[in-house]
Amino acid sequence: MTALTAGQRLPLATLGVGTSFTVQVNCTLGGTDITAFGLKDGKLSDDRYMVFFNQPKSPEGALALTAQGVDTAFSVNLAALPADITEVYFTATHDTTPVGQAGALSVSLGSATFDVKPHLKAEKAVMLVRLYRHQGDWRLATVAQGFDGGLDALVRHFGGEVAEAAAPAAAPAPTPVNLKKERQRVLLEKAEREQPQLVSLIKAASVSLEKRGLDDARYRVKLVLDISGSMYDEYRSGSVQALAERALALAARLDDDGEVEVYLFGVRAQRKGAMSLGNVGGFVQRMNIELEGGTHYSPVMTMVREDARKEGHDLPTLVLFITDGGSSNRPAVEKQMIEASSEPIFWKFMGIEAGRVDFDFLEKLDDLKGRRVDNADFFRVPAPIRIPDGELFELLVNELDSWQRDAKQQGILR
Amino acid sequence: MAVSLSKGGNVSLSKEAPGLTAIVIGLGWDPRATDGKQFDLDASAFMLKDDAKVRADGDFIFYNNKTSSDGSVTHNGDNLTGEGSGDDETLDIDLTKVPAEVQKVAVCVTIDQADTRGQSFGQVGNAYIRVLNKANGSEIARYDLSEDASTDTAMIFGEVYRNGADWKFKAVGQGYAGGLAPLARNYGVNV
Repeated sequence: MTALTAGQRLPLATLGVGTSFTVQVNCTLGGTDITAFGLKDGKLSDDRYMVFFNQPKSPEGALALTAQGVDTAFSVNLAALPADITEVYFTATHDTTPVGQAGALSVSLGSATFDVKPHLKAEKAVMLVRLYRHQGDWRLATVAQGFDGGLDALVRHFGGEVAEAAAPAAAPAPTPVNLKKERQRVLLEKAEREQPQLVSLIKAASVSLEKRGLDDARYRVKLVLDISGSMYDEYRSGSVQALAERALALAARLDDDGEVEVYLFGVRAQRKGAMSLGNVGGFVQRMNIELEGGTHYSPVMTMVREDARKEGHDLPTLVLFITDGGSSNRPAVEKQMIEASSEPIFWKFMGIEAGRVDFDFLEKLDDLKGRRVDNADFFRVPAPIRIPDGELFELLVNELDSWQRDAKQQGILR
Repeated sequence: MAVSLSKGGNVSLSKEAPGLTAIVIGLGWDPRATDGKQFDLDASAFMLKDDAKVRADGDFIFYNNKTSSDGSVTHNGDNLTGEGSGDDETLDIDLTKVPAEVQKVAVCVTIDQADTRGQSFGQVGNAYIRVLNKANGSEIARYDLSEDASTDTAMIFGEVYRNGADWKFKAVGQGYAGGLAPLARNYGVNV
């Protein structure tokens, strides 16, 4: 094995590789994302050449992700790369932690290994190595430089000037680099590590959102749970925990931080904090819920609206409101719904149907008159909850797209 | 017409450019785009006697001694970051003013604090050093430091030397371990 140092520039032939080979990245820091960027004259002008978990190969397959985990591998076929791709950077990025804190971080290619870790300080985004065309040949440069600011800074470095450079009218507008994929991928990868049972749920949630053109939508997700006495069976059977996990899966796609704020209501309203990928397991049980003898929607609605206002209305809020019965003090609830129709909040009521339950009031709320936009939807599922996940997500995001459109038209939502 | 020199090659400046009286040494590099210590490249010149030593410390022209005592070699200022287009640092050598005792002028490029900052030419974007005919700006020789000297931190770029009544330029392109201080010591400067 040849050990490489930072700053070397080598013809690939000296490493014993031809045009088709594997680049391996060994990184022991969990949550690090390894990406290959195919660039055109230093710029990422086509984000199909950003090869990573969410997009595992370039269109013609010249760059392909073949292994993930501590050892990430890319197959590289230089002969198949389009001529206008002039260089390929392999990068390591982390959302929160400097990549240099990895116990080990190195790149292997052919007979050579480049230990990147010793060269790093506070960078959260690092260019590890670079393959580039030089006088008709391909070379390897050992880079080990990066940005403390993380992925955003790196992408700006690769593409920040693309928009400005697009001034000449004849040139087709470059596709802007979509960073949102990256955020979703980070959450999905975290789920794979910490909550693998949620991965298929997150994917099912994605499908439902994409069907409604909501794949890029951003919401804060809040879960409101009924703790009236009649919910006893749903809590005991684990149905509520299962629903909470599905709400979190939806948040992993919709929410800016992938967390769900949880509220309880019976007679009173309570805030129960944020549910995340890190604490979702057993979340409902840990709340030590004491069921209450009443169902009052209004106090918890006030609480949710207050919190949404405090968090700022730049992001809309999706409220998943789970109940098994109609509310007391109905005029107060109707007044709330009418007032809240001017706020960027969409209310999704899910009625759990156990025995003879009266959902007339919820049906009425769904079609309540006097609101600026239709800001609520209601659906019912029979208890015990056995509805397939795909169907559940369809019901959970139903009408969200039409509300989003109407709220924008009305200037409620930016 | 410019002669492209490879390592070790030489060219008669007087023959290539009849009437040549002055040359410019140009050094350029891209400012650091990534986070970390800036790349600070320095050009310097040593006026050497027959024995390849300076006559006195004043014959070492660099960022702290911008003009030789006889005025033949001038450093036009230190660029600390590589900011700006074109050559970032230049040295002028007026061949007509070089004292007879001086047989050659060695031109070098070094990275400031390369060791403590862990830097080498290969980490610097688009680093080069070149020599131009001052009268018309034509390029006589150039090294792409980023590619050709990637693991070095100091390089003897070339020598301008007397050959009878003529001046010649030799493209040395030799990496030199240790940076500017040992290089200066090697040429007899007290540092």
